[in-house]
Amino acid sequence: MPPKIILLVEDNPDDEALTLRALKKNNILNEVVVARDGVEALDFLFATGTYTGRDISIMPQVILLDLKLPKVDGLEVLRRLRADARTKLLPVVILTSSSEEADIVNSYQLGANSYVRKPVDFAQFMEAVRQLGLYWLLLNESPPVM
Amino acid sequence: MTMKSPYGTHSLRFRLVVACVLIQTVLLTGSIANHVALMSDSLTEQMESRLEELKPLLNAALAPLVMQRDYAALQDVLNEVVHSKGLKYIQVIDHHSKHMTGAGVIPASFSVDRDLSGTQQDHMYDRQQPLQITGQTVGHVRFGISTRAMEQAKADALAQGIGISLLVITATVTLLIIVSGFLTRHLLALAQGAQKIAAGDLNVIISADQRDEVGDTARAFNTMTVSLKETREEMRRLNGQLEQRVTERTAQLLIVNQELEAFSYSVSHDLRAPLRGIDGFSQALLEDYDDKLDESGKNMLRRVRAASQRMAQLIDDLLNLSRVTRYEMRAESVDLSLLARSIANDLQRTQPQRQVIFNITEGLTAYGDPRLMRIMLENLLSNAWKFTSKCEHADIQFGVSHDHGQPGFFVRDNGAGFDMAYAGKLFGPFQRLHATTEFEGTGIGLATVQRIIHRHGGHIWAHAAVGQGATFYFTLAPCRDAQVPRAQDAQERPFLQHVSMANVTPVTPASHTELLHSN
Repeated sequence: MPPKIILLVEDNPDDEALTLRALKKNNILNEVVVARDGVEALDFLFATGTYTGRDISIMPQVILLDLKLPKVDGLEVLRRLRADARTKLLPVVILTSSSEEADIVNSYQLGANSYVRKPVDFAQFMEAVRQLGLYWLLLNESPPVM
Repeated sequence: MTMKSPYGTHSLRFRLVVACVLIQTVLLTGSIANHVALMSDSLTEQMESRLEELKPLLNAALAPLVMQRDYAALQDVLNEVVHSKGLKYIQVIDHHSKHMTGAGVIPASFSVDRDLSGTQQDHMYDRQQPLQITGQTVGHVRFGISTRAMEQAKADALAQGIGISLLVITATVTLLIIVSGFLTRHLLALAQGAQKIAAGDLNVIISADQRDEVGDTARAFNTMTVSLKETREEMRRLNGQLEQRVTERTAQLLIVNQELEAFSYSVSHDLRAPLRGIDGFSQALLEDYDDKLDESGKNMLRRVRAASQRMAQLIDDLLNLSRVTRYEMRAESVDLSLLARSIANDLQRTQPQRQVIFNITEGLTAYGDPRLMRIMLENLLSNAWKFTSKCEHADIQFGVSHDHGQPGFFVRDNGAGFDMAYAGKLFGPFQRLHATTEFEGTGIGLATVQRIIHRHGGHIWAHAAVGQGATFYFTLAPCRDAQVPRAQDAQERPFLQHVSMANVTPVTPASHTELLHSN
């Protein structure tokens, strides 16, 4: 059974550290791969660029995707994911600061599975991460690897 | 050559001819009647003078013979007179009115001095005159004269007049038909030209070669057409310019709007991220360095966290305020009473331990956007809820009052109220009339309410006194299905009796989130 990894796409090092801390504090000990922009995220998923040669049969159990990213933004990453047979069924949770209606609508239109706004209050943030981990890593059945 | 008039009996030509015939008939009839009457008078006069001339002659010739009773001579003279003077008959009677002798056809009856001017039934005019010798009447002579010739002359004059009249009328009508045909032909040409212009064809030119009024009209028409064409082209040019300007302005507005959207987005996304860092790492410090921090240090970190969370709330409220302005409204009839009841229930659920009486008038409806109406009422009612939090017997009312001429809704509470001296600041964003420690909030709620009311074409105002509660009145633009039933209880209350509570503050962020997230 392949390891259940999490792909965290996040450019803000503070948010990255806080998310990792929240996962750890909630005893979610799965491997977390961090991509700091859209290109890196796509490289990892399709085993290109710095991730050339990666075992592509290992896909993340869930992708935590920020929308505002350098180079290729979150919505574009989502679009390319959904356009490729290998990744089109992967669970994608949008985890962002934005609560703009347009972002929410666009995310769902492009096939996001969930949309969560990052709370400023760290206690609430912890709770959000806990519930995400519980749901996507334990409760939810992942699609079979293509 | 004449263009057939399409107007039938309503055509100008027809009416002109009819009018002319009528006028001529009346004038000529009058004229003929006058002519005949004058002629008749003149003939009568002639005859009268003839008879007057005859009078002494007859007296001179007959009177002596009557006196002498010379019948044979008398008969001779009478025969002579009948023939020479053209009389119908002549008769001499004595002074006992007894027939003596006569000549011609003597009528059985005799009527003296009939009117000569009238037509006589027997075409006869009779006269009787005395025969006198030296002032003594010796007898009378009667004679009759034929009026046939005179009547014939009158009939001839009448026939002649009618004949001439008919000729004149016929000639006039013919002339009129020709002239009006000419005129209406040009009028029709003008009318057809005008119709073409009305249909948008400004290239109409009407032939204008006559050197008369018709030609002038046609020329004036052509000048008008040209001028119209120029005006239209000028208008088209200006219109084009205007459209271009509108397009430019719209594009500029679109850019400004996009910039505003980008700004909002940036505020929403970028300002919150550092706050999360501040809050998160402060918490991390509290957790990881618990043993190294004394109570004062921990307290400071808690303050850092509270401040960052408050900042996040401010940012959210500010964004919500701008969204209320940008949000595209869809107005319909909204049951405000139902909405108020549902919000009241939500508020009660947040603090079930509180004892608050909600007094909501049933059946109040307004024409507005349902989501904005909910946000507006949520703000007002949660304000009332908040500012009555220190009251033992909190009372919150939603109803309608007619005190200011037009029906105004109101939300009233018996809470903290505020000083009317600061009422002017009430609806400004981030304006607060209470310390945060006393009542929490960011001061954006009433600003949001005011924007919603203004977007619905209404007004909002408040009355309050410190410690006596506050009343917020608002109107919404009257619209077709908006009905505001007269609420009796609201009317009976003096307008300023219950004063009010206060101000500002927030609105449950949940409603705004709903505004954004639904759809």
